[in-house]
Amino acid sequence: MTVTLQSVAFIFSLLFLAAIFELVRRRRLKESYALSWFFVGGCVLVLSLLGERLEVVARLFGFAQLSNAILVFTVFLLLVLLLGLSVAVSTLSGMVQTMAQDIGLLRNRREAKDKDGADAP
Amino acid sequence: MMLVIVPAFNEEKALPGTLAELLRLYPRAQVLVVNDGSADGTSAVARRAGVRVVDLPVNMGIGVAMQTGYRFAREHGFSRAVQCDGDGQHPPAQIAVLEETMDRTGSAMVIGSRFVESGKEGFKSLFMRRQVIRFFSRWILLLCGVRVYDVTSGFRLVNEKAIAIFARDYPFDYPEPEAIVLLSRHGLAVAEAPVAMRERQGGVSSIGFFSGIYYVVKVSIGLLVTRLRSMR
Repeated sequence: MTVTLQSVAFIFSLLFLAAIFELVRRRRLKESYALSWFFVGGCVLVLSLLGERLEVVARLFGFAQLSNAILVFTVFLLLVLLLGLSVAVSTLSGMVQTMAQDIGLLRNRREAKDKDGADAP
Repeated sequence: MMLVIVPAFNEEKALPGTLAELLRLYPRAQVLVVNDGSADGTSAVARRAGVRVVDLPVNMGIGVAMQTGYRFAREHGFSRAVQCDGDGQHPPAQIAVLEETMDRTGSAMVIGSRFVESGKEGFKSLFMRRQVIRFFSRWILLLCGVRVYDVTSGFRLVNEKAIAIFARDYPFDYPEPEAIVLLSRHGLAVAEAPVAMRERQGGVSSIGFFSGIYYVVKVSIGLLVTRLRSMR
């Protein structure tokens, strides 16, 4: 890894972490989701600091190229993140289902009540 | 008391006929239309017919609409509930056949079936569709030892126990086959009764040609997952 690349990665990860922090501060991102993104930002930061030593680690795992190791690592990280998002979406859609049903049933109940009230003298 | 749940999505054309027939044939039953966020006059048409209507604020799909009906049935203490499509496919006159079968067998759910005995005279589905149904039927037999032929039929009568289960837990996307496995997992019996179905009077099928493959895969996995899920 060249020094240029290393510093670019370092600056990028710092900006990334700052962006996440800012989103949380403005309440655009919930802490529960921010945590996984902080983890991603932290990983990039650590990788950028490792520099030469990273290549030794990659060799250890049998990667001929450092870039391959990083690519594989990134793919797995994103897979985990995406799965987490799918779980979150599933939870939300379950909530929406229950709430849509509640709205329908409540409106119906109110309508029936209004009708009864109108029928009474 | 029996509740007839009519799920309806953009069904303003066929709905009045179905509702009129239901009200004429079963004056003692209550009819509930669950309007699944229709863009047309489904809700207005149903109200004009004088039945109760639950309007879902957005289109949620048949499973969620059906469960809304079951929640209504549970909240209002109905002892039986019928699922009857608003598109005219399910002839209201045949509900009596479902009731008779439930009285006789004591099953928690009776499915109006196109493939048993005299059901053959009425409208039958396309060849491919029939093969898919046969496949699901065998899959369900393998998974829970229950023999049901017309597993995708949405023309069903359920008792109080099944209402309670469905009000709490009902499959969403293509719910009919999964609902059978769900009941069987709760130790409830499912029976079939031969009915003559008609061709839909209006509207279009919810399953297109290309989504067919997705449908088969999704339901097959769904059945397996329902079988393996713990039932609290």
